[in-house]
Amino acid sequence: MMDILKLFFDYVGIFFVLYLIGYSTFLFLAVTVGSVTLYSFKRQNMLKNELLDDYYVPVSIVVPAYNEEVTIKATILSLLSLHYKIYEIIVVDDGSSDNTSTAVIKAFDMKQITRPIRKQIFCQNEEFVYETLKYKVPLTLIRKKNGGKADALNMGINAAKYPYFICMDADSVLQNDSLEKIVRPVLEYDNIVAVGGVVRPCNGAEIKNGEVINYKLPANILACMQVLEYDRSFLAARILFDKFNGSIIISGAFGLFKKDVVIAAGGYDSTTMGEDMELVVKLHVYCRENKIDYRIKYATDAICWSQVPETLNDLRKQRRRWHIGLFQSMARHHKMFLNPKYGLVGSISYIYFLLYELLSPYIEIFGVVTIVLAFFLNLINVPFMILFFVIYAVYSSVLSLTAFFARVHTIDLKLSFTDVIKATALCFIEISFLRFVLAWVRATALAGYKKNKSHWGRIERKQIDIK
Amino acid sequence: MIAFNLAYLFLLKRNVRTSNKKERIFTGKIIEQMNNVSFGGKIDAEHLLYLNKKLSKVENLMSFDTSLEEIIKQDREKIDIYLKNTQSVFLYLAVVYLKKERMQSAYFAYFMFKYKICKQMPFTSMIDALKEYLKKDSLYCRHNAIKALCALGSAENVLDGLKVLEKENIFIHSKIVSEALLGFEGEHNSLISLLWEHLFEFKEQMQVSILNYIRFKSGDYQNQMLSILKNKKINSELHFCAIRYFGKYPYTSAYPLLIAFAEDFDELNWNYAAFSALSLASYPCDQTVKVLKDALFSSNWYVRYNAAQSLEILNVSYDQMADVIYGNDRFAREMMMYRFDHRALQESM
Repeated sequence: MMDILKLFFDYVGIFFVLYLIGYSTFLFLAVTVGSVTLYSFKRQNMLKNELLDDYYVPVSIVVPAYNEEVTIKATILSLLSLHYKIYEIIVVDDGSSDNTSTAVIKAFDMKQITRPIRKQIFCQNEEFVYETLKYKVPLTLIRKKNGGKADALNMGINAAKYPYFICMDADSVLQNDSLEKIVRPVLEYDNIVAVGGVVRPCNGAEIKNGEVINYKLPANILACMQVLEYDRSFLAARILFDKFNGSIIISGAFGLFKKDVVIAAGGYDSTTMGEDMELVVKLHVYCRENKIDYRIKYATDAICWSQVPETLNDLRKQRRRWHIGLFQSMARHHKMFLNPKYGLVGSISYIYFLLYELLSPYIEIFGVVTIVLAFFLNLINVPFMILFFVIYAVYSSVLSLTAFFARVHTIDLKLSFTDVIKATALCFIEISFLRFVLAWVRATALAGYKKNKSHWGRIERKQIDIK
Repeated sequence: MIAFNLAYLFLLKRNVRTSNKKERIFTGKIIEQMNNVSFGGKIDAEHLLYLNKKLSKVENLMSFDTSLEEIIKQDREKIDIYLKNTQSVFLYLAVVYLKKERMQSAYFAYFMFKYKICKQMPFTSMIDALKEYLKKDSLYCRHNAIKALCALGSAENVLDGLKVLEKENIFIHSKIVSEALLGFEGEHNSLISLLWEHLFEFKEQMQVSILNYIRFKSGDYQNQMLSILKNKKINSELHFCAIRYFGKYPYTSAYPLLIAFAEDFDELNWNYAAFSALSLASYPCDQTVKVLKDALFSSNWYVRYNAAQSLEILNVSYDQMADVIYGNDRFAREMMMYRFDHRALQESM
């Protein structure tokens, strides 16, 4: 029996060595490429490698809202203060049970109109439409029957006038130059179908007229750890995927899409929880199957500020939703897996998300259980295990901090000495504690997920500090 | 990591200090040479050699740029004279930066545009060098180079520049080309006339950029645009440009064609009908209103949308549209009602 167990642990050991080599290599590549790209980008700006004139590609901003009575006015005001010239704002109230629509109508003195909406993608029917032309750009409010976030976005796409649309969350704030930055790839390449923006946690940031005037790490420790996690896992990894047109996630909080391609691909899927990821994967599939020359870019300087959860319960809900969304998107497009037709997206991107995102919580928990089991069976070298863990924590922390500081330096944010110490200390805690908590949350996420098909993910929000 | 952070901050501060020092040195030397020139002297050969050597490094060129910026605030004219007298330096640098990586090349092209270097020294070798920058694999380099060519004010050189872009098969967004052409600092009529002459030597995308530029700048090309509209062998995108042109500059001879397009209910030709419906807003008469009212019943959403929009622009009354409003076609009715509501919204502003 002991021999069998030893053999089992040997194989487990080999598996984890290979798994961790794969992950650490990816992480190293992502952070290195990400940091180099960010520094190169800073140099590019210093050398005036930018379009200094005003070139405006008209865009429609779609803001899906559900029970956003408190925040929606501030969101719209921030959108109205963007530097961009040619855009429209479409707020879609997805049958809120609070007074979201009334708040918008009153705040912006809107008038009801009979606007025909061309339903190119299926969505629930509208109940009423209000418009106003009193501001620098047209503002439209569409109140519709409840159908979920994806359904609300589809309504927005149907109502959008312009050839490109931007999706964003009703509780996020776009930096005042974010539209110029996110449309830039459209001017640079002739085959852009989508551009992802950067979502940054705004907890701790003071924003005035769409610009950060004071930045410090959030006082809340959980939010602070997420800041580090965002830079390492999201920013760096997305830059790496962008290098080979392999991005399969564009955050629902800020992304630009070519409307006709999205419509042709079928729009947002209202039966998934991760409609943002599903759409991007679907665009890859659609373009490759129809032999359309396409490119999905990531704009590292197009910034959207969004709140990250400050309680463990909210974070748990958010990550559960993300994990279910990831599972649904990957399951729905499983044919991409190692399929040469889908190029590097089907191999590198899909495998990375499968092994290191979707299955990682199970693998990590399996690893922890195996260590505990081996410890009780006296089959583990404890000092080596501790050393191994310390190496892992130091390695991951160094990469986290590299990504974090690369981001901070390249956008000229000033950090206090206390924040530097705080980031250095918290990245250890994030690596060695939060990561395992979130692994457990994600591992248990799929239990009973079908119950909430078109659910709006809610976390406790504070009013964003916009001046 | 703290060490990395501190080292980076230290380097950053050091760079700022070094740049400030360089700027001070450049400013002193430029002013000294400007004074020499203003007293009838010449730029010292030593100074030219110094610039050749120093400005070959992009960091120094950036400091030089900042120094010029500061001096220009006080005396633009003297700077122009100074730059004119240092032309050999920029000719040398044009060759140096052409060989550098694309970000640095783009910066030099930006510098050339910013200080209108070519305008200061419009000789062939400099302009040829600039055309080489159009071939660089960098949008920013091409963008700055084409702007620098346009700033030169010579129609022939702009034409040559566009031909270079075309020959290299480089993507450059039509908005960027049109905007650069709009920034042309010479006689627009002569540029338009030259571009028109060579229009069909370009590919479709460049043709669209040129036609858009003409639409923004001149209403004198109605006849030529009509010939485009009548030419069935050319790409439909050019036809759409011509239709839009006639929306901006109404032309009686084009009217029957616009009417014919708007009346065409063939689904395959919907975009002709949609563009024409929009342009017809510039032709107020009973026939236009009748055709647009008919277009409201098109099976194509965009045709209905544009027809209703034009009817709104033509200020048709509710009574005039009663047959549509009380008619059986829900789509036509909704579209028109929306435009009436829209007009009310505008009036309430």
